[in-house]
Amino acid sequence: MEQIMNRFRSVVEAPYEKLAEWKNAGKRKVVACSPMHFPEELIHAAGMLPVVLQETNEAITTGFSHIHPFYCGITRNMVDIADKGQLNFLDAIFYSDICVQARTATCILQQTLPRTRVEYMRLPMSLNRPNASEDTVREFDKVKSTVESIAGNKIDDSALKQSIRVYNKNRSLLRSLRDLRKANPGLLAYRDMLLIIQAGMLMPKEEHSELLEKLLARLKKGKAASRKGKKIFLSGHLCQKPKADILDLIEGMGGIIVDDDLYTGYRYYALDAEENGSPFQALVKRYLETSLPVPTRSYLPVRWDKYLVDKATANRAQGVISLVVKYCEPHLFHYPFIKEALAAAGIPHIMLETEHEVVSLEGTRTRLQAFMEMLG
Amino acid sequence: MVTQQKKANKLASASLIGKMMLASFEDIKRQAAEGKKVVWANGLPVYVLARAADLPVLHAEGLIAGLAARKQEKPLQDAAEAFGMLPDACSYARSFLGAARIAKGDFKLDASVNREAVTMPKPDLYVNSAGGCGTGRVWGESMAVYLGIPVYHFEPKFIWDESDLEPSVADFVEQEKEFIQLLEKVTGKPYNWNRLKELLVEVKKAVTLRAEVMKLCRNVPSPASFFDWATSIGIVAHLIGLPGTGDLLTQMKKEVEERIVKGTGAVPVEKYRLYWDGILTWSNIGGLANKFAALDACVVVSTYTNLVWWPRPDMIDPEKPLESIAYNCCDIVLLRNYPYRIKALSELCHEFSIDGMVLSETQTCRAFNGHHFMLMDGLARKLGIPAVTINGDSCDPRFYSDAQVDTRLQALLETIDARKKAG
Repeated sequence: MEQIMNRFRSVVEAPYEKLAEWKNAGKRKVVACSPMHFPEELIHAAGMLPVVLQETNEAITTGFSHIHPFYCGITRNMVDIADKGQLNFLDAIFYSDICVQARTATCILQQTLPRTRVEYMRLPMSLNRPNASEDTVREFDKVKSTVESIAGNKIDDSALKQSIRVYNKNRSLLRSLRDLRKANPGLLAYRDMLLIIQAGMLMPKEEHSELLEKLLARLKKGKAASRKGKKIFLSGHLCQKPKADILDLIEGMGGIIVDDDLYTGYRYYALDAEENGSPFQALVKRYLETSLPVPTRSYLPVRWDKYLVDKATANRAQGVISLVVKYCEPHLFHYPFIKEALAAAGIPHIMLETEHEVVSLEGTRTRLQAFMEMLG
Repeated sequence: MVTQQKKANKLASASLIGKMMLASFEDIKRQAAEGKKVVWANGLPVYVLARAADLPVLHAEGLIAGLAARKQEKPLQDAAEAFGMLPDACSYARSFLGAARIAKGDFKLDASVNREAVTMPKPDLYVNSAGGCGTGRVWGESMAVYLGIPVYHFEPKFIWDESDLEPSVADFVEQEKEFIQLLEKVTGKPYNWNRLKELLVEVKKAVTLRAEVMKLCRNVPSPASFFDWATSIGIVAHLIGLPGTGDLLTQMKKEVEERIVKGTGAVPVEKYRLYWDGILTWSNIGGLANKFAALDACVVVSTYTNLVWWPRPDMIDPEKPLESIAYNCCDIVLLRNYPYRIKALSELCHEFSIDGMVLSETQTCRAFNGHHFMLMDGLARKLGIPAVTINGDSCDPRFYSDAQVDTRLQALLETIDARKKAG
């Protein structure tokens, strides 16, 4: 099992260096996309490796000559590492219009990476508009043509169907891992759970699934010490993975993270694309699916605050920890409603603001300690 | 430290806008008291569609900017923060959410607060048309959910390349039709298309006249400054389509033309002509106007006043009202990529004989600031124009530092002097 985890760790640590080496060893083209909404299956079906851009741990330095400090961590980080040349190996970068900061990042990357194709996907944000489906089809079609031109080959339906199957299988394995861990949290630290998911965004899905199957087999056989503690539902971080330090703090203080609604958590693998019928329409339908809250979209039938109350209740969570990325405006506007809804439901809650640079965890430690004690 | 002895020579006519804005807010209150349904809106003036439906419209930025300029914004921000809004969020949005809380009676105002100024009638409909700003959508959504009212979100698309403009305009026209259907539902009446056409006639007159008057600032010395246009932005924003704007613009044109004849400038001594990019720090508009004047610097032109509000008067055809509004909401610089912005700003800098740029970093706005470093670099290379950034915020005074602004402006002007000397 340690071998499998080491493979995942090696992918996640210095991810762009590893991907560049992988590509230069004569493998496939590598196309990156911004977190959320981008149909990775299109890139996969074109025979290229899709990767979801991930925040690294390095400090922002030269990037500050392109972007202000009051942009969110992942935006600053992407601009910074692009400026340092770490993304030069990418054959293309696709950003989607998830927020105004993502838009800014795209424009900056287009200027700082003149030899890399940088494209911007504008999907409908009001999902109840009569033409939302038509608009999504049109935009996905544009993306598909662009992906084909980068790959140098057409994407046919059978290739796309196969890619959907590959991705659905991966998502299903991640759901199995989640369920296994929920039944016995001692099996896997939450930092490792999120590491595994993140690794899947940075390596071939086929390999990731193979490793997941081996891991699941080992975990099912093994006996983990049962963990007792305070059940916590972890919420927030719309597109970047929380720092492992914070996850360790929560678990180190006796918190058992029973579930989450993070992008680099449950939201990444929750929904499959349909395998019957048109694969292209299946991807469109998946985008328009609103059973999960999508904080960057409008007219949501599922409000995030209500979803959180329902999920925390269903998981019998004793408390909710909201991780709010500093300067993440979609989250900032939802947060007061989340706070109000949790209070009305009598669910203890704490909000922790997270930053790209973890200067000191002591303040967070003190607040978490007080919160955990409050849970009784 | 800058010794401020010289002051800005403000346009007398532009100063009349304050009274017009306040009168308009009182009129909204009156109409609400008479039973009229009220619309609250943020962003671009597509809400003129609601005015044609005879609905009073309160424009967020119009209300909040004025309150900040009069240093009355704090109760609204306190109300929002008490609800759980963090101070990093857009201060326009925070303040308007605070206004919603006050309107709903959910926030107790301190006895010292001017209640009349900060209390507006609760809306029945919310419209978000924040072109170029995804935050506007989450803002609008929050407002609607909080107030329990319907909302319409206008979504002009970002123009990644030029071929995107026409499809974006076509889609925006469809959105306007959807919004009009909603207006008909809210009012219970068929939409008044004739009224919309009449309004567009007035809009065209106003925005065309305003563009003409602003062009007069090509004159040296400039007869008016960015601070005059910013103070009077309500003419093309909150007050658009309302009576009186045409007369005020005619007055402004007369005053500006008289100044040109007399050789009177917007600042006592015009040694430097500057471009301003970004939103204004409303809470210190007067102070900043005087600061530049004291430095013999006239801020002649800006993105905010020249390229955001009704930038396409040429596309206004009252017989095609939806297309007219669509072009003016889709073809704005905030929805344009860097190459377009560099071209647009270069042209303005050339047209208005600009010596340097001031980039206002609105600390809670991530829509307006994103291109700043690219612009600084690009314009410096293209035109040899130096630039500085100054920190502040649209309406949260906590982010503004006078000392920082002084230092930066001094550096900018010294750089301009050095370059002029070097030839």
